[in-house]
Amino acid sequence: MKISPEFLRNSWIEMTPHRMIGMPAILGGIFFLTYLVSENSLGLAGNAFRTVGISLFTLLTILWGTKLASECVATEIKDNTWDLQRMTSISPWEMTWGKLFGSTVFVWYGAVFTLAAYLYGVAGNNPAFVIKNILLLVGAGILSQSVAMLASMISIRKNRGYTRSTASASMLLAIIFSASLLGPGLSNETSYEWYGQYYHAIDFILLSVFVFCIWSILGIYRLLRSEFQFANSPLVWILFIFFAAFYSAGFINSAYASDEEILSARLFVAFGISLISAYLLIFSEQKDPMFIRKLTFLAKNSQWKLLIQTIPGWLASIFLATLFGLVLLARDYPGINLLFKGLEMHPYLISAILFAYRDIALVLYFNLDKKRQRADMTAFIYLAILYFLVPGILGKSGLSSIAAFFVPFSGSQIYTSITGAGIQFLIVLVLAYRRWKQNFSIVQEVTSNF
Amino acid sequence: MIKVENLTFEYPGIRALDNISLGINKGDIMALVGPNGAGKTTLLHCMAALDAPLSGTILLEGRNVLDDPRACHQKIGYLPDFFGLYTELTIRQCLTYMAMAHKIQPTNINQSVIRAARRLKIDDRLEDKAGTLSRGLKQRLAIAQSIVHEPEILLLDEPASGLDPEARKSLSELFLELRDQGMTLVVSSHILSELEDYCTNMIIVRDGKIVEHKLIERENENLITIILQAINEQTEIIQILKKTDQVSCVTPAREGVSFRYPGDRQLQGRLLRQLMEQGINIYSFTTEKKNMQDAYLEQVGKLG
Repeated sequence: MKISPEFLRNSWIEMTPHRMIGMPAILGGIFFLTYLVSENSLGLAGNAFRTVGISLFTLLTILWGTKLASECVATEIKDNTWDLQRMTSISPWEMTWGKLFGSTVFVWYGAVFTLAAYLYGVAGNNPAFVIKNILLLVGAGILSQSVAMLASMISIRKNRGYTRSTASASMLLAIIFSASLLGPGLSNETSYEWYGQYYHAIDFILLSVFVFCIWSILGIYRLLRSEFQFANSPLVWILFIFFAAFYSAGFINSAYASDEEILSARLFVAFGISLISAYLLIFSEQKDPMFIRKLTFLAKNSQWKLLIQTIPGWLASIFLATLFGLVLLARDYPGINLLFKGLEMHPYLISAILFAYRDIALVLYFNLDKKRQRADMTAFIYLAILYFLVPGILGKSGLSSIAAFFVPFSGSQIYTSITGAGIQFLIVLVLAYRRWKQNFSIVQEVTSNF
Repeated sequence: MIKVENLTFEYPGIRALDNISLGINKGDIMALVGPNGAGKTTLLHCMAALDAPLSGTILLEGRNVLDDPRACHQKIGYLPDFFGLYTELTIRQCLTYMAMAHKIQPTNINQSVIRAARRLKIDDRLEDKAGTLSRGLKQRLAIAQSIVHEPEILLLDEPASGLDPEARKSLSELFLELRDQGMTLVVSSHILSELEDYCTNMIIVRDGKIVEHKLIERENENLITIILQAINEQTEIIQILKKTDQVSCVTPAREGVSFRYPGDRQLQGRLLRQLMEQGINIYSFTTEKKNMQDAYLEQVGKLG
């Protein structure tokens, strides 16, 4: 079997003789202390070994490992070695594995010792349960590391500058995501209902963790492909949205609702997921004016294949949200009672879509400024003002009918919300278009200097 | 070997490369010169398939580099202006990594590492860590990394910056050696005087456009300009020269006559003898060497 050069390089750097001796020595010391605290009894130390083993495993793989994974590409860029790597013949797959497991090889080396201690601690338990727990721990480690690397790479695609806060944010996001997925995990008692079937919590979470691992690693692979100048089709992202929608919709179950009602509710979940992903991506993806210029250039020149390959994730997501929204609107069914009891959802859907269009147009408007260093943050603040401050002031001033203009779900005044969202969307769209024409539709020549 | 066709590259609101077209032949050492911000690095990045242009194509042996960038990287080596090294690795490890990353057969890796290190004269320091090397040796290691896979084309962005004169001279010798071994080189640099030691062509880039693409004149190659000064009347000299074989572009020059003639030194000696036999009392016979810097400044001057 050929070893990935990237993995080997990382191993040379990470697995120095000093560190290879140091890690087991320190861990050995900690476990010896655990033994001493347990009154020098191996029998009493068993339980403690299990707890300490899991804690150290979490510390190593989920805290330290996510940090290393989130920094593995960022440090290459900071140290000017990324172009060197991009100039090699290492394939995006090799680079994905080499970086993900190479940058964390040392923490996994340590994790093996902690798992050995855990195994000692659970000796005598049901072997299937122990194996599942170990797989879950390993899966959680890989998931948090791959999500951290993915988040950091999305940030790098948007902005090459490396900051500690970027790495910390990626790390935090990965830990929150893994923790939310693990949920009540390490117990064999609870169960999940998914599409009407009941599953043991540990089985369901284990499968979920590994499926999400595959998606996050696929995400890294696709971002590395983009870094290596390979064309990417948006199809994979669309498939992921469908998967996430399918996965989440499975939790919508009711013994009392009709199939039609359940289907509507599940479609609504799909709509919500597409909409959320559009919001997440519009703030995290590249919205470089040159990128938009490239899209318009490809459209003008009828280069459809390249255009489809260049379509950003947020555009694909808002398209899917609109599609799911239209399907829901077309369904002649009175409301989605499972989720929102007795509410006529159709106007709310229209309002949500129009407000999303307005918000995306607003983010683009700020990104089309010539000085757009903090465009996303500015857009975020403006959205907060539009959603909270303005309607809050208007509402408290007795002008709640006007406040509905800025609130997507305004109860009895929902049609005012729809009108408001529509008008605001058109205004922001015109402003964004004018800014585009003014700043970027005609490019200036470079001015070289000595 | 490389054909750039109608290449346009834009940064936000700025056209960095404006419909550039050029061709580079096998065995060329192409100098890419121009002021800061002219688009040299962007052009090199596009040629190395590291950046995708807005429009246009770059063909490497007839194949678009962006169709399969990784395959094209097996044929191209690139040394960026601000290169980085894995400072914790030894020279041997750095070169082994690059050899593996370029898919060199495992059985040939050691041989490739040694060959690249020898070419750059760092084979005696293979076990030294990259972080402990001097600036010049780091530069050598970076070049060794970019040629360890024996690329057909080597792109170098300001390779001599920060090097002392001795290191620059040996770098020039290395480039000629690589050219003689069949490599094609594209060198972007500000130091024009050293480029003329080894470059065969020069491209002047300014404001994202190619303003000049010229062949570098060399003695014994092509035609050169000779300034002849003699006691005789200028018109008499011009008359005689116009009748002489292989002489062209005869024009009056300050205190003499200038003309174009083959660069071959033996031919020049024969011409001198022949002119003296025809009664021209020559007191000065010099070749006009317009160096790259002159050519560049002349071109830049024309553009204002």
